[in-house]
Amino acid sequence: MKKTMSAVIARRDRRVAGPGRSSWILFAALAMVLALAPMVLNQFNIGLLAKFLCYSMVAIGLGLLWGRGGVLSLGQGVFFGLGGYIMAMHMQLADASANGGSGVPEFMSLYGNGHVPGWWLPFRSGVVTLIAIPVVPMLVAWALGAAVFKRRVKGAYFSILSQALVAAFALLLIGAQTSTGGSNGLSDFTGFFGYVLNDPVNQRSLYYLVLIVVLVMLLATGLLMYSRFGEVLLAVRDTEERVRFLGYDPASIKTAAFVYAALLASIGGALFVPVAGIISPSDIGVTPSIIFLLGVALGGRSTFLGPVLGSLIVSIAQNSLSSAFPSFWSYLEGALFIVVIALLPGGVATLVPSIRRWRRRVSGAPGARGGSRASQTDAVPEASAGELVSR
Amino acid sequence: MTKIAAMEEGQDLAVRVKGLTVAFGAFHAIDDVDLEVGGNHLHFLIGPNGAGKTTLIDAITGLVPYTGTISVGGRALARMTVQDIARFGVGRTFQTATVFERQTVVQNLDIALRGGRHWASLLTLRREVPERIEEILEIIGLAGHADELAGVLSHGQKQWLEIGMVLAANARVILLDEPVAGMTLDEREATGELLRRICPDRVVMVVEHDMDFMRRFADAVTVMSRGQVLVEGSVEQIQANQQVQDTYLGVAEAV
Repeated sequence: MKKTMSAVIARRDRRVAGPGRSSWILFAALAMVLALAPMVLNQFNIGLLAKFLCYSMVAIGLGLLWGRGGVLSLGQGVFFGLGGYIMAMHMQLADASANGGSGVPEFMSLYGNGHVPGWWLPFRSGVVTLIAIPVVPMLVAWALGAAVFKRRVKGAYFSILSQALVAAFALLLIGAQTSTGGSNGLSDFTGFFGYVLNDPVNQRSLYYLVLIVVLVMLLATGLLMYSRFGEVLLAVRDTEERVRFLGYDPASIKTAAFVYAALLASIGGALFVPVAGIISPSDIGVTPSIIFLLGVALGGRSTFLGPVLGSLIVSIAQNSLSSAFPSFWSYLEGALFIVVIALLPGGVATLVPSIRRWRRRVSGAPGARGGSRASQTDAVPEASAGELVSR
Repeated sequence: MTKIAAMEEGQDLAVRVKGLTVAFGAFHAIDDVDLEVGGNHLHFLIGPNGAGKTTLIDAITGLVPYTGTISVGGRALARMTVQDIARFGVGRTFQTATVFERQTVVQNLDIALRGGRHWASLLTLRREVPERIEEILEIIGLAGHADELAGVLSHGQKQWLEIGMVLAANARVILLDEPVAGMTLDEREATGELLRRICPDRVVMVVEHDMDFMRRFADAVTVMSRGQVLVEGSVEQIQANQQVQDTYLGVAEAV
């Protein structure tokens, strides 16, 4: 087929999908600030920031799953926990065998019969552990997604199901004290793949490892969001039946997003263990799973950088406020959730366009009549969430 | 996931419906219908409200369970899922155009283009507009709107976009549910021309209420009433039929 030169040029000039320049600048700035942070922070705060970055990994996955796919999972703690506990089991076993030890983690002799359960044994191997951290949660998410989405369970029903799952998972861990440490969890680690954990140099290296993983996740997720997969995912969220009639199985698309979010959450959990030095049911239960979401909602769930920024803000706020006013934080948290959902469904990323629209409405611009107003509040914030941060 | 091979170029496309019954409880929305729709012409399916026209489309596209057989190009569609039927090459539009409103026209078409392809093709970024999409944009007359959000298109343009999506999905059997409802006269004309253009080497069946539109563009007509086929034939034959005039055309003309 012959095409004129100008037609070809026009075709290439047509803007391709992808995060725009402003979000790349923001991304670079974020990477720079986080890379330089250890220069000004003390060791304790470096550890804190690394911990927050681990939480933000869950948020990045949720941004794709919830923001693009419309799948609201209240159970990401399950995957954070799977990654965390797999890593913690390996570290416990490695610590127990180090320096001619018995090979039995201390708590097992304390609460149990002093034998390592059979299902712990594979995690003596570092290689098995590193394979299991991504593979196990992905398999769980795939099985769950295939079972649930194929049956067309969606919306609030899926959310409730995922929350029940994380509650059950936490209960299971608490109940099995002799093999999982119960509500105390697993803690007091000394080494991480041969490195001494409380060495400041190693702490700093660990921080950079976490940071690199976060940045890689951000890039990968950004690409996924703007890939054809991201477009189909958005289409599934908005008009699932149309997608089905075009030859896609929406359940597979949603399952893929769920598996991806599980992978990110699991890696977050696995890195959380050496960073925080503990993993316990209270790190993965119903409440932490909701707080993962709070950051995503606050930052802007359907944007490129919203989830990670929101998650970091919530973590920092929680840390500083909950130590200053212990009882106040939970109220603020609840209020924040309500305010974001009710007034700013697109998250902080849509704050500027929302204010602009509001001012236009107040100044009584022509055409801002009742009918169009209703459609504005309904449809526009989502679209402009994309515009501000991701374009 | 079972792979459904799409129909091939030049293959027999005819839609054959035999003894089709769709029951909602005791009510038979479609009652023992036989129907054959061949390719290369515009086939209209008309009838009063509740005649079972949309239900027929729903049955063919796998949306409602039925008894009897429906085959396309010799292949029975029963037991195939909605998405497998779509991959096989049966596409449909809806009474209210269903497009992805928050995405651009090109994005809409590209999503349709990739339906049923290998999943790995989803893990790519669109560097330029695929040639097939450029072609479809020309066919449906939306070349000037390629980068607009589908949500801001006019009602008629959304219908055209949806037809374009069905084309992009490489459908060989295209079922359209009242494509010109709510359109202006000019838009109806353009839609008719569009359907004429996509007709060759495809089966195009249009469910329609608009009699003028039917008279102007139909090559063959099936009239349904109360879940059954009343009569089939050319526009002239249909118009001459006393039964049709009594139950339907007369009423429509009076209105």
